[in-house]
Order: sequence, then C-alpha cells, then structure tokens
Amino acid sequence: MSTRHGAVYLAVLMSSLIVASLAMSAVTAAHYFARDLNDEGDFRQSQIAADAALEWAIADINATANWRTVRSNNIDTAAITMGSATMRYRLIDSDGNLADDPLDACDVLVTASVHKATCAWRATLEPAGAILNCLNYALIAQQDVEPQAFAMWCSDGLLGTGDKITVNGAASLTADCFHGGSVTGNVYGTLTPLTGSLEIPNPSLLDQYSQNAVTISASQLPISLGTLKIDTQLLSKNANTISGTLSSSGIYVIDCENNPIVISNSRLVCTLVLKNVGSNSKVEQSVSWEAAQANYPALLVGGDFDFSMSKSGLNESTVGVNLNPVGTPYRGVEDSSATTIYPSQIRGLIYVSGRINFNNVLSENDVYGVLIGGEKVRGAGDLFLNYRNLFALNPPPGFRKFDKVRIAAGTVRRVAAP
Amino acid sequence: MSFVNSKSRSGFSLIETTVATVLVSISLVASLNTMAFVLTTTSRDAESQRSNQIAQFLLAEITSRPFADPVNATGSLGLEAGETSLRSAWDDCDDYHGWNTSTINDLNGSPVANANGWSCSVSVNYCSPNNPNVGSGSATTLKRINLSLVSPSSRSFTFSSLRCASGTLLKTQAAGTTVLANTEISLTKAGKSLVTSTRLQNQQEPN
Repeated sequence: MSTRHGAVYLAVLMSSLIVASLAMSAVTAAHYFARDLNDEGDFRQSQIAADAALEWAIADINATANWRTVRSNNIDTAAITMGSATMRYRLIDSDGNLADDPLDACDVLVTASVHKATCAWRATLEPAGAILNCLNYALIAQQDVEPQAFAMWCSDGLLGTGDKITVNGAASLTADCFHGGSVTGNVYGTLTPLTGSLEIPNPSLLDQYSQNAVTISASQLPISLGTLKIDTQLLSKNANTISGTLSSSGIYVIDCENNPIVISNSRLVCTLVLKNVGSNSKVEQSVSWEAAQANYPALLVGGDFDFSMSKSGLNESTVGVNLNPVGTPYRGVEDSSATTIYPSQIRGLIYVSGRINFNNVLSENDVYGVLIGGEKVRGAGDLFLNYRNLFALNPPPGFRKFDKVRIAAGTVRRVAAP
Repeated sequence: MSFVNSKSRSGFSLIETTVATVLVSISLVASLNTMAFVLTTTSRDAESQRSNQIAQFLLAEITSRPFADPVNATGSLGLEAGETSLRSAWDDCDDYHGWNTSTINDLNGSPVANANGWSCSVSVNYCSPNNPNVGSGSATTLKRINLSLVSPSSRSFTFSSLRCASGTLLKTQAAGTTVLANTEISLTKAGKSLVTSTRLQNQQEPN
C-alpha cells in the first residue's frame, strides 16, 4: 500500500518540479537578458545625456555672472534632470582656487547618470570673451621699458607699459606710448598716461598650448656647455629635423628643465612653447620664424628670454640645409636645393612670461606682430617692431577674457565619474 | 479479499489520476504563462534597446550641426530661407525643427539597418541656459532637441539633447570648409546589422 502511493506521488511531484525548474530557469535567463539590455540602454542614454550636459555646462557658465566666485572649485553643481537622466558639472582649477585669477585655465567635468549607468566628460575651457587689450599694442611690458646704450627701438604700433619708460644714454625709442610711470630719455612719439590696466595672459597659457603640442624632449637636443641647441634645424607641421615626430597642429613644446636654450640659424614654421628656460636663453644670429597658423603665437616662453638676432638673411648655402622641402614651402615654393635665402625675422606673436632682453648691442631684431613681456623689456640691441592687427581681429586661443568660455579644441576626454 | 486487494494494487485510482493531472496541468499552465511573459518582455526590451540605438544615431547627427546657421543666422527655428528638405544640406541643429519621417535613412539616403517600420519626429526649442527644462519663447544660448520615436508596434520613446552657442564643435569655420563631425558605425553578423553613431568631440581646427 505505502509503496504504491509513494511512487505515484513522487512521480507527480518530480514532474511538477522539473516543469517548475524549467520555468524558473527561463525566468532567470530572461531576467539577466533583460537586465543586460536595460544596462546597455541606460549606458547609451547616459552617453547622450553626457553630451547634452557638456553643452548645458557651457551655457550655464556663460549665463552666470561672476561664475568664478559663484561656483566652488571641484564641487558639483546642483543636479538637474532631463528625461530619465541626471546631469551635473563641476569646475576644476589646477591651483584649487577658481577665484584667485580671472585668467586661470579651468576644466569642466560633467557627469550624466541614468539609473546605474554613468558617463563623464572632462574638457578644458578657454576664454571666449572680449580680447585682451595687449593685442592692441605692438609691444607691451608689465614693468619698465628700458632701451639702453645705443639701442634704436622703432615701432609703427603702440607701446604700453605698466611702469616707467627709461631711455638710457644715446638710445632712442620711436613709438606712441601708453605709460604707467615716468618717461625719461629720447622718446619720439605721443606719450599718454595709462588709464586702466594692461591685460596679458598668465603663464598657464603655455599649458593650454602644450595640450595640443608635440613634445620634443630636452634630451633630444644637442647640448653644449650645459646649453640646449637648436641650430640649423627645420621645424614645421610637415618637418621636424630634431625629433622627427610631426605636429599636425604645428605646435611643439620643449621643457628645458631650467637649462638655457639657444635657437639659431634655423627656420621655424610653428608655434614653439619653451617651458622652464634657464638664464641666457635666446634667439640669436639668423632665424626665419613664423607660426604654422597665421593668428597663432610664434613663441611662448616660460621665464626670461633674450633676442640677439642678426639682420643678415638665413642662407641655406651657409647653413648647408634645405629649409623649404616638400611640405614646408617658402612663399609657395618648395625645392630640394640649398640656395634659398630667408629674411631673418620673427613674424607672429611672442609671449615671454618673464623679462625680455635685447642684450647684444650689435643685434638687429626684426619682429612683425606683437611682443608681450610679463616683466621688463630692455636691452642695447636694435628693435624694429611692425605691428600686425590680425591678432586683435582674430585672437589666438588664450587671448580672450574668461567672462565667456568655450571648450578648447582637442581637450574633450572621457574620464571616470567622480 | 486478498484477490480484490491484489487487483486494486495493479493500477491508479481515479482520484489519484485526477490529482496528478491537475498538478501537472497547473505547472504547465504556469510555465507557459511564464514563457509568454519572458518572450513579451524580451521583445519589449529589444525594442527599447533599438530605440536607444536609433536615438543615438539621429542625435549624433543633429547635435554635430552648428548651433546657428553659419551663413544666414536668424533667431527663428527651422529651415532658413533658401533651404530645402534635403537633409544632407542642413547646416544648423534647428533645421531639424519640425522634421518628421516614417523612413529613417542616413544622410546618404540609405535606410538605417533595423529601423524598418520606425518613425521619428524632432522639435528644437530655445530653453533657459541655467535649466534646460525651462523653455524660452525668445532666442537664448541653449537649444533643446527633443526626438520622438515610434516603434513598429506603436510604442513611443522620447529622447532629449542640448546644443549650446559656445559648446563643443564650435569653431568658426571658413566658408566651404569640410569637417568630420560625426561617425557612423555598422556591424554585421549572420545577416543582421547593428548601426550606431557618435559625434566627434574633438574636431580638428581648420588650418
């Protein structure tokens, strides 16, 4: 009796158990499949939302007066929702203080979340407001301007200084000048006391350009008596005789590691960023230099820098190198010979965060553009400045005020959500 | 008596058979219902997933367009004077305002894989730069792009994105400049295709 009943019930229960197990397996598999689909869907939506968050962040910053003081460094804004997404952003100043310098570079980090999925973008902001007034001058110095000895300085554009103009000895200065301090010596031109402030970028400008630059290591440069040398070289978007690595943006950066660097007898068609230059760093002899992009700086220097150029043309036959090969034409001409002669001059914007010195009494420095010094500008060499207003009309990155911002080209990158 | 008892042991009683049948039937019905639910859920999730792919594809295209018309900027939304329904010629994000289609094609006019039977409509509106959920009747520096998708089974999905006057991809381009603004990716396996798209956040500056 017990054998018969037990077998039947066991068979029935086992059948039910098998069917129920199959059903549970299907439910579990479906659950995981659905969860995968949902997770992937959430992630796609978080990507869409992160793109939107980046746009919103810029719009919000530009619509917020005094955003540097209203926002706190590295602290998220209040989140807003858009559909099923939650968006927020934070501003990050590398020195930890948004409000201490109105020209400090700044990053924006946006985060968008949809359920458990999160996507974050980080980008560097660049100023998109009014232009810095330094671009309206041919030469600008935050401190004194001091032509010395027999120096002859001529400019067809304005000269601005936040301090004195002191023309020593037999030196002369021919320019219309705006001056913050006293004026002494042979100055030929209209003198106007400076009202307001001179606006020049801060040294973080070098980092901004370095982000899009190709790095040339100091160890790749010849060194002589502790001085790095760039001599008889060609540097452009399509030629790099120093390290061989080309920069599509035409920007190269060298960290001199506090060693002096001397640039001579070379042709540069690029923006060169020199960081941490040692004392007595300079451009000397014959150099033909222009930026790869017309409105970009030719030279950005972190530290003091000297100019000791010769007016003698840069002659390929003298240096023994062809400096206008295919890809780097001069006045539209490319060749394979070594017979071209280039005028020795710098055409472009020059920014030196420290002191500018024309230290060689025999030097003749020819600049077509804008010369900006973060400290004094002085020296005994001659200076011929030919102002170019293209920088004021179309400012290069970093030469606008931060009252409006935009995303610096090439700086958007995916990061882990904070 | 022993004979009768012997006969009754050789089979199941009616009550036993009935109970067993009921139990198995209940299990089977429950299982079939579960399977039906699983299939329905899977289908709906796959549809939802498909909507995400199509939305990403279309929003990448729309948000890669400039904030405003580069040659004929006006505050109004929609196509500017002289512009036609030729989508590949649209040159700013609000040209898509009012666009609706029952055939989702790429910019070359080719049907997007697995989007057969889907339809979409787009609206673009100004909104507050501080809060995109607050609309604005006048021009602002932020546009909200709303994309509605309807699946072949008539389910609706909505997505939103934003475009800012100073946002990504904002570089003043010379007239006639060609830039790569977004990419389309197509994967095919065993005759089935998956298409997605993304905008390029880091455009090369014009030289």
